[in-house]
Amino acid sequence: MIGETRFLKNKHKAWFYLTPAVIIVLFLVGYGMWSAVIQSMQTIGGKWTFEFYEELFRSDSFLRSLKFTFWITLISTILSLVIGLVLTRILYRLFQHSFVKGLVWIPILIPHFVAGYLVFLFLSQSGLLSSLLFQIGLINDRSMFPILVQDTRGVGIILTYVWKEVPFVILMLLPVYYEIDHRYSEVVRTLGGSKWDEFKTVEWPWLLPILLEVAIILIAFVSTAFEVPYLLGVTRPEMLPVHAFDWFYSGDWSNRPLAFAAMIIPGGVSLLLAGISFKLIQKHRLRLIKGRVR
Amino acid sequence: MNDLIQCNQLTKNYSGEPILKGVSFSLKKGEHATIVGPSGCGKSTLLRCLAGLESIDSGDIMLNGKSVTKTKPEKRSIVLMFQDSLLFPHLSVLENITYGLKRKKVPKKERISEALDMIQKVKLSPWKDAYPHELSGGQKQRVSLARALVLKPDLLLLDEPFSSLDASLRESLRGEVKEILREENITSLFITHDRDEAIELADMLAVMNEGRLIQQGTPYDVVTYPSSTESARIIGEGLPLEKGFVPQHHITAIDPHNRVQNDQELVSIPGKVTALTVKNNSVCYRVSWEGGTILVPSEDKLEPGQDVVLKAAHVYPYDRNGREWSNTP
Repeated sequence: MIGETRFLKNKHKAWFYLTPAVIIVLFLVGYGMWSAVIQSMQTIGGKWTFEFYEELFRSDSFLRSLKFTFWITLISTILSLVIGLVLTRILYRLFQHSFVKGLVWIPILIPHFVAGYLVFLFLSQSGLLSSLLFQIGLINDRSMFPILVQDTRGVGIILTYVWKEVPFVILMLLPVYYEIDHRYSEVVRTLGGSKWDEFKTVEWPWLLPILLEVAIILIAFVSTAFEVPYLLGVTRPEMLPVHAFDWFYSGDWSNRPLAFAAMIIPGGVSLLLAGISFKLIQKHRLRLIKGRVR
Repeated sequence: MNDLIQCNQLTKNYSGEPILKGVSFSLKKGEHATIVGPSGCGKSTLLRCLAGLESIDSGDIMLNGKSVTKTKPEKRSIVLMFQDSLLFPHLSVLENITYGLKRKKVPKKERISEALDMIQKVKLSPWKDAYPHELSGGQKQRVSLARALVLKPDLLLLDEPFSSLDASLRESLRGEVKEILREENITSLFITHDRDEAIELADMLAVMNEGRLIQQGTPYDVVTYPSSTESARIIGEGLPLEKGFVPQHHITAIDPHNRVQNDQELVSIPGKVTALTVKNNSVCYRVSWEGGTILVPSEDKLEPGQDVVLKAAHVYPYDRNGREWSNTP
């Protein structure tokens, strides 16, 4: 009873502390999103319609863009999660030292457009890496260096996102590793489990909810961010945010609802994924929290 | 009968500090041994070494006649039950119990049937689908026991598994565990710092102090004839006197005003009643004397604060070294 009262008190306290952030999100972001939804569903005369969405799915350029965005988002998210998880798993004890942690944190402090620009400087055909390889004689001509930025497969965009997001994944996973009770690993081993069983039984259940949440954040961000694909992408195919930007500033105002609709789609998918994953992992998370040994 | 497990001169150091100093003992199949000793004496380290979770610096561990000193924990037929139940919180009771069988690739049908049998033995059938957070402390330890027993290990190690439970639950669970272990004919090694628990669960009782097993024997022998002052202090209350040791069960407290001096009584030490308590359904008194405190019965009705005399008719005299005493009065 006392515990329950304290929980309720803490819950109210948490809401109290969160209120300023919630208000800002609701009024600024929420209003922006709501007005984008409205504008994607209304004609200039104010009539409600789905015609812009229908038009989107009839547009080859949009479908190409959507496919390219899906590809970039999927690969960037999976690579960031896998690399982040592997690095955290191997190095989490080392990350307790502030110097090592500081090294990993550096990419987080760099804005995405700067990161994109750095990738361009390093990996373009006229960039530092190609110059270095040319100077040491590994390539005879800079044009022999593979096209890694402003390429049709989005390699430069993916590399930038992976470089930026891996530290974010590590930042999210580190507390999980510090919280895991490693006596469970010993239980697994005395019950006949292997090292893989240790990971599957002791670590994975705690990592899963966080990985899902991080994946959704990354999907939402990568599929809707503008600056990196604008810097490192090509005109065809271009990612959805760049395509929407072009529609918005094309000078033809009739394209603006299309721009909004194009961005509502990845936003809506991200929200839907967030809702589904919350529903799926909530029970699992509660079992973990309530059932762990303190 | 051959020994199931045999430990020869096990030593273990942590950063140069010796934790185990040549521990040797053996157990036969179906035997239940208990090691009792104060906190930090190396009991848990010994169990961890036996389970393979810690390596030993020297010595040898033989299981069924084969050395398992270098064998990985998952390959030893030894299961360790920890102080906390450590049930996997995302798995149900049934899933927790079948966990080890699954790792050993026992077919699904078989492992479920074996787990259900075990669940019945630990009286948890109605909770087979429950999750750990829905169970009480005692139920969790039962699941933990079932999870270990269902594997039918050659040796079950129990590291103070009842220490986190309240006294009455601890007592009842102790009895149940003892019964299940006997039914299943599982050899067990139990460690505890609780003397009563140690005595109740053991066929063989060993006393451990500062990394050494200082005495081994039947619970009766160890309690009645402690081999040294060290052992006597660890295993039980008593009066370590200059001329010898008087075990607790030989001592009574008397009201000096009500009693006439009896020549048969070799020991007569003044003390003061500090508290009244009940032990094994009898009234007992905690009496402080110049060497400490002791829990003793009395035929007189005593009150806290009252002066008493501690009496005993037997003293177990020390041997020539002045440290050991002989095993007969």
